[in-house]
Amino acid sequence: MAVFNINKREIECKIVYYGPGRGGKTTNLEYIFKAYKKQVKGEMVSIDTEGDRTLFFDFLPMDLGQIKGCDVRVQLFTVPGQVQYSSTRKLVLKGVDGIVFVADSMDVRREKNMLSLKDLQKNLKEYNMSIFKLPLVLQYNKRDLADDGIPIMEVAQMEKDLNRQLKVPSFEASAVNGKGVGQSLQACLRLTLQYLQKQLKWANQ
Amino acid sequence: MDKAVLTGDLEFLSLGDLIQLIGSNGSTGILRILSKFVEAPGIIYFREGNPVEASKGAENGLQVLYSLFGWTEGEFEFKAEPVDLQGSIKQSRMEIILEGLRLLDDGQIERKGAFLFDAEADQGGDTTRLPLIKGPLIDYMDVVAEEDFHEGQTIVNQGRHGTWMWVILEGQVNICKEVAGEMVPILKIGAGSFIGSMSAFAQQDEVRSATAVAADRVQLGVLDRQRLTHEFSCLSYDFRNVILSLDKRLKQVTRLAATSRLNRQKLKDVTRGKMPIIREGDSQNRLLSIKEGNAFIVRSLSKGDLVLAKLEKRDFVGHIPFLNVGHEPDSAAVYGTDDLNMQALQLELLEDEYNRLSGTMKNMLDNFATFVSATTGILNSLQTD
Repeated sequence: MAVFNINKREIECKIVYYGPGRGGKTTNLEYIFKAYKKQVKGEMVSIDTEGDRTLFFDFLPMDLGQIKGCDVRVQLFTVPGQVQYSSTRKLVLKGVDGIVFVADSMDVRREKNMLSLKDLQKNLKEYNMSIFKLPLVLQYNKRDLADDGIPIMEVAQMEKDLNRQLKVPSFEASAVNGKGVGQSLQACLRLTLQYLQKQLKWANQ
Repeated sequence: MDKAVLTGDLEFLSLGDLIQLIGSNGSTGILRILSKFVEAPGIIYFREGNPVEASKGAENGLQVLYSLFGWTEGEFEFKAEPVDLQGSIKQSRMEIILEGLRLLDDGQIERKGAFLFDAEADQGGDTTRLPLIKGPLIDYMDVVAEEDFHEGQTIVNQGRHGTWMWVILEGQVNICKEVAGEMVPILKIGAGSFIGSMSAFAQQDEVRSATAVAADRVQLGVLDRQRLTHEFSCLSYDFRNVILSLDKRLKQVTRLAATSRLNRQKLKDVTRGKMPIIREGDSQNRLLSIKEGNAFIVRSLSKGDLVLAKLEKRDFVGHIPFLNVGHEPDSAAVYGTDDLNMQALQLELLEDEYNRLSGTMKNMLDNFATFVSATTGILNSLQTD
C-alpha cells in the first residue's frame, strides 16, 4: 500500500528485507547504504534488537523514473525475526509493497530458511496479504562461504526448498562483498513498481 | 487555526502509524493521546513532521515519548497549529518509532490498556496503587439529578439494598469490598465511570456487592433508571443474558481480588487431566451460552490454576468482539463439568444490538468490561508478585 504524497509529489513505498536471523539482511542494507550513498536520503536508523539489528533508511532509486509525475521514494527496512518483536514486525510489515527474502546458503540453516519463509507467509496473511501476490524476490546469500570450505547448499536445492511454489526471481549473493545485493534490490524495485502501476491502472478504469 | 484535524482510536491507528502519517504529511501541530488508564493526557509536539517534544503531566522529553508507545488503547487528536517551543527531541521519527516499539516488545515500557495477562512483567511492584478507570463523557439526557459528595463520604454501602445508579461527573471514587471484616480497596474510578450494578435492570431489589467511597470532592449524575430499564427490557433474551453474565463475572473477580489481597489464594491444579473447551490463546471467536452444567474460566499461572469465574446456565463463554473483558480466549482457558452443554450465540445479531444501544448503555457496558479486565489484572499481579 504505497502512500501518495500530493504535497511533495512523491510516492512512498516500502520494501522489507525478511529472512532468518543472521542470514544477512542487515548486511544487505548496510551495503546498499554505503554503495548507493547518493541515492540514500537521510541517516540510517539502527535499533539493536536481540540477536539481530533492525535497520531503516530512505532510498531514492535514480533509474526508475516517475509514476504519474511523482518521484518514488522507497523505505527500506529489515524486520527482527524474534517472536517477541511483534509490535515492530507489525509496523514494518503493515502496508509493505515488496519483499526481499534473504536466505542463508549454509547447509545448517536449511530448516531455518524454510521456517522463516513459512513465518513470512503467516505474518502477511495476518495483514490480509498473500505471499503469492506480493512482489517478492529470493536471495541466496553467503555463496562466498564455499571458498572457505564451509558446506553450502546447491542453488538447485534451495530453489526446490523455497521457490518450488512461489516461482519468483532468485539471485545468488554474498552480501559481505556486495555481490548480488544491487541485483536483488533492483529486481524487487522493478517488480514493486510494476505491481503499483498495475494497481493504478486498475484504479483508473 | 485551532481545530482538530485528525481524531480517532489508537486501536485502529497505533502511535507508530500516527507518527508516520503526520511525518509523511510534514505537519506541524500537537498530538494529544488520551487513555482511560492514565490520568494526564500524553502530548507530542510536531514540527514539519518530526516530533520535537513530548510531555505527560509534569514530565517531558524522549523517555516520555517512548512511554506513550505503551498506550495501546485510547483516543488521539491531532491539531495543526504553530509549534514554537525549542524541543528536546532530536532523533528522527523512524528511529523513535522503531526504538519505541522495541522497548515495548522488550517489556521495558509499561503497557497501559485493558489488563491482558501477557503483560505480566509490567504489573509488578506497587500493588497498592490502583489504576484509575475513566469513561467517555456522559450524555446528559440520561442524568436526572446531580449529587455532591465530599472526600471520604460513602456513596453506597456493601450489603445495603438499593438499585440507584450513578455516573461520575467529576472527581474520583474508591470501590472497596468488605471481606472478613476488612475493607479492601479494589478499583479507583473517575469521570465517566458508573456506580451500581447492571443486574439492577433485571430485578427490583439488589444488594450492593461493594462499597463506593468518594476519594475527593465528587459530583455524581443520578441515572434515569426508568429509561435504562426500559431499554434493557427491550433487548433480546441473549443480549440481556450477556449483560447479566458480565455483571456476574465482575462480582466474582472482585470478590476474588479482595480475598487475594488479604491472603494469597492457594492455587490448585484444578485442570489437571482435563481438556479445555477453549484453550488460552485460541483464536476462535465463537460465543456460547450455557444450557446446562458449569463452565470455569481459568488462567494458568506458573504456580497453579486461578479460577476467575464459575459460570452457569444462561452465562456466556467465549469471545465478544465488542467487549474487552481480558479473559478467554486470549488470556484464559475455559473448562467445563461433564454435563456441560452449550449453544452458540449469533454474534452478528448481538453485534447489531450493541451498535444500536444508547450511548449511556454502551458506555456502561464498556465501562464494566474494563472493570472486569482491570480487576483481573490486579488479581494476576497479586498472584505473581
